[in-house]
Amino acid sequence: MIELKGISKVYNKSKPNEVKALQNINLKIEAESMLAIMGPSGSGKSTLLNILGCLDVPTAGIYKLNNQEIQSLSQGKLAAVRNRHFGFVVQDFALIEEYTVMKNVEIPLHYSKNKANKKERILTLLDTLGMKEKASEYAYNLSGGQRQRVAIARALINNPDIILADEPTGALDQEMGEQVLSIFKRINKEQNKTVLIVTHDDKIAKQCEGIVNIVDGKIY
Amino acid sequence: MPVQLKFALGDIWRKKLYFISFFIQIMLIILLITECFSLIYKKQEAFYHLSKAFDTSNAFYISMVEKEEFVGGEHEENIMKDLYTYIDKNDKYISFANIENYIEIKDIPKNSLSVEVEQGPSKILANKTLSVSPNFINVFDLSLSQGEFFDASWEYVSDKNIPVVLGYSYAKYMDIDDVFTDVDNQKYKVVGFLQDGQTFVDVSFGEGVIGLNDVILTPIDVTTFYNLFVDGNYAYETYLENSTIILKNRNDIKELRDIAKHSKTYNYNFNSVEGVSGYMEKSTQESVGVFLFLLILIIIFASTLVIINTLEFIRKNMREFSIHIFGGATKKHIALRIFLQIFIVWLLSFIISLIISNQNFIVLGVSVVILLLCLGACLPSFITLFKLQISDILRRKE
Ligand SMILES: Nc1ncnc2c1ncn2[C@@H]1O[C@H](COP(=O)(O)OP(=O)(O)O)[C@@H](O)[C@H]1O
Ligand SMILES: [Mg+2]
Repeated sequence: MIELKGISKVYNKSKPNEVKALQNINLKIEAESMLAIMGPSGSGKSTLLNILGCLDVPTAGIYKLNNQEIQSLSQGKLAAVRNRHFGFVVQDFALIEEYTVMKNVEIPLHYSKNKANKKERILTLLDTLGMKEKASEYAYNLSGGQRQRVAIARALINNPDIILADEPTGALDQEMGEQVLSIFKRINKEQNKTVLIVTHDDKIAKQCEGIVNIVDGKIY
Repeated sequence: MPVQLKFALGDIWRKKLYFISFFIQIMLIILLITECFSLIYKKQEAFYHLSKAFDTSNAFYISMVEKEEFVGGEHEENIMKDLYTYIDKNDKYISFANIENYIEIKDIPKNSLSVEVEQGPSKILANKTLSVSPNFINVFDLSLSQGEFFDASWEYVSDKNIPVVLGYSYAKYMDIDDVFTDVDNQKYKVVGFLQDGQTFVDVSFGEGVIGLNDVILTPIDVTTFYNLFVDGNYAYETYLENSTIILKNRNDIKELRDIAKHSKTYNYNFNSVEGVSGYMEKSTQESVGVFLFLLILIIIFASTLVIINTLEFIRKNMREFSIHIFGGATKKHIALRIFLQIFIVWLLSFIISLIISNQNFIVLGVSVVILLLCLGACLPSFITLFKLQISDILRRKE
């Protein structure tokens, strides 16, 4: 379970280009829920997701993950939390082009303690996403939908509790977008993972259990 | 294998060309600096060698400057003879001579030890000789690997063999008692071989330590007065001009000056060897100055190279790093990966330089300094890396 209390994020504090990206955010996210985060461009959605995913730390406020305060952990501990609890999916897939599908999915395992039978785990996972036969294909040879499925496999390989997806369908056409969304729904229902999706698309938001609306760094 | 090492090797493999050029640059820098140091080292060795062989402050060499009015003849020959005899017979003086020459050998196969020498308009293949007096051998403490040195009382007889002691490299081509003939039909007989790496210090020309491995040593006979070209193999004049005289007592030079002042043809200058080593010292300082300047240039170049390379590497791979950071990497992991790349390239250059250069200690010292320098040069990129906010990295891809 995630709990944010009075979280703020200020970029370039006390400089002329200071940005208050998040202001006094209070938010509870139940385990195993599936939420959409919506709001205009520049409203702070990505910032929120980065803080949730321990990629960034808040300027103020308390962030509790499973009842543990983690806003003031060291870089190394935050990396471990990231590795164990979070899977990231982003709009442009963030694959390493010169790596094969296999090697891309493997990345989080390098930083994980659980390295047992890597290969089988990756192949099984790719199989559930319909990407098994592409395992030794290079990332630059894949279509957009295929790339996003590889990215989802990478987000899932460490068996995290929470999937953070920042506009995961933004670079895909309608049909591909729907396929990817159905994957997220399946992950949420069958594997009981918490899924947070940042999106502009109402249709996608409607299929989630709830919507968090952000405008100008505040939740409405 | 540690994960970051694997990634570092992967990075190197993926950017082969870039790393090969980086590798060559680092290696050139190591070799260049090593060469600079070993040159300085060689000059120092010459001084050391010289001062070990004799007291340079009591050693002189003679230069003969022609007076305006050239007389020559018997009178001059007598002065030279007197001078030579006085030095040779009196134990207040030790003198030795080394006269460089070339002979064109007729009947042995041309081998790699012969060098091209200009003779008038044409070039010939000839072998380097050094005619030396017995004291030369003592002063520079030369050792033989086989045979013996020529007799101190050896006398030149035109139709007899001249005994020769050959430098170590000749041992591959010749044996003791071999006889060879030069183009003037002079016969030579091998009586000994020097040990490997024998050297002497060239005093009068200030050229430093000279190796004797490729040299043929021949004896000097300057004993006769009449018909010297028939009865001796060198004239008094040649001997005097190429000799070094070591005095027991510095004031003994006066007696030699007294003999020489009767000359109508020459001004005999007795020059202190110290002056020559002073000259050598000065020329060394000058070359050290030039080397230092070059060194600084090279070091600036190398550091700039590393700084630009690593900064560029971080810039290019920001995305890849952020992907690893998604997966649980920290910035320390990334820094380690960058360090390992540099380290691997450095290690390779170091090993290859060790193989190429025979100055192992200098290569080691220089390489360690270069590694520290490389690390110093990585600092700006490490600072850049650690100052970067992850959200910044993510924003860059947008
Ligand atoms: N690393 C950063 N440095 C400075 N300003 C930032 C940074 N990241 C985001 N911002 C600013 O914070 C605000 C919120 O950005 P973001 O969270 O990316 O919005 P969204 O994802 O909703 O489009 C924007 O005004 C953006 O310019
Ligand atoms: Mg965004």
